[in-house]
Amino acid sequence: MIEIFIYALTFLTFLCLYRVGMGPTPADRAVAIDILGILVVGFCVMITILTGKDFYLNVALAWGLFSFIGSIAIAKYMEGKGFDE
Amino acid sequence: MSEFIGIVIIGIGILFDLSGVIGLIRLPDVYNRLQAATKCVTMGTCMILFGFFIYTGFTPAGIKALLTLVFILISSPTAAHAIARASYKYGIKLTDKSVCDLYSKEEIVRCSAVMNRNVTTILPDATLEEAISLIVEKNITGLPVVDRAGTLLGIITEKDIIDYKRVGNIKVAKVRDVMTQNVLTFAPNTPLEEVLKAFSEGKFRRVPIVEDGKVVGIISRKDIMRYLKGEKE
Repeated sequence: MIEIFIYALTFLTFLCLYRVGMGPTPADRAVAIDILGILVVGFCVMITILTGKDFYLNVALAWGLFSFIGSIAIAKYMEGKGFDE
Repeated sequence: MSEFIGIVIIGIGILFDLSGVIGLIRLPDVYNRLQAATKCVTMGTCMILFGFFIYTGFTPAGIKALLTLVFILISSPTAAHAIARASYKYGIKLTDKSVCDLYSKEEIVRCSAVMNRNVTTILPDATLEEAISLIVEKNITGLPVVDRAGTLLGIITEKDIIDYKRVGNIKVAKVRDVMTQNVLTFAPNTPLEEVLKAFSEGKFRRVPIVEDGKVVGIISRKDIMRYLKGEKE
């Protein structure tokens, strides 16, 4: 069962990467990368169940954190502002 | 048993993820994609994390999954909102089929942008003759009456003076006796729309702009004309 979930999530991440690749606007890519980050958190949880090693949860937490910071940074950049505004 | 329930919740979460990603692929513009994907994928991933918590119970790993859940729940909508606003400011257009675009409404013009800040005022115990000469000299039609602290007490207009001329002696009258009390005033951050409404429906010719009881500006019909002229250019 867990393997099926992992295949499904892998498929979903590839769909996200399709949107990252096809665009057409920079905002579409930013959105897709943001969603990809959240999907990867779920993916790490599945790997934790599959392998029984819970350090993958740390990976999930860190990935979620950096995905959030990255999205905010991209948004600020698109607005044309500095990071301290 | 709890493992089975956990797996079921994770399965439902993956279905949410699936619908979100389908929205990301199929919907026509970035805002649609954003709202579909963010909501469904956040929900889906939170269900995966919660399912994992049910699956493992109160272990360190389970608690960590709950923490991640809370974090995702807060950060994901924030990031989505930031991206949506940024794409709007970046100039990305809505799809042709969009029904309305409330965010693009023109910025509201406030009274403070239109008002004349050089207000000629008069003290209540000045004589009426002083008021008349001020009105003639400055080529205005009315004067706000303020005390020495700047607090608005009333307004004296050409009409007040003309009305008084028919019944009283202008030479001895004080501004205090002639002025109109209970003046309609507006705050500096009032939308100009309300002032236009007052001018159009009432017989006002000018409204003082008052902040904390003090007169900070005045809007006359002429000021509105000046503003409209500037807007046209």
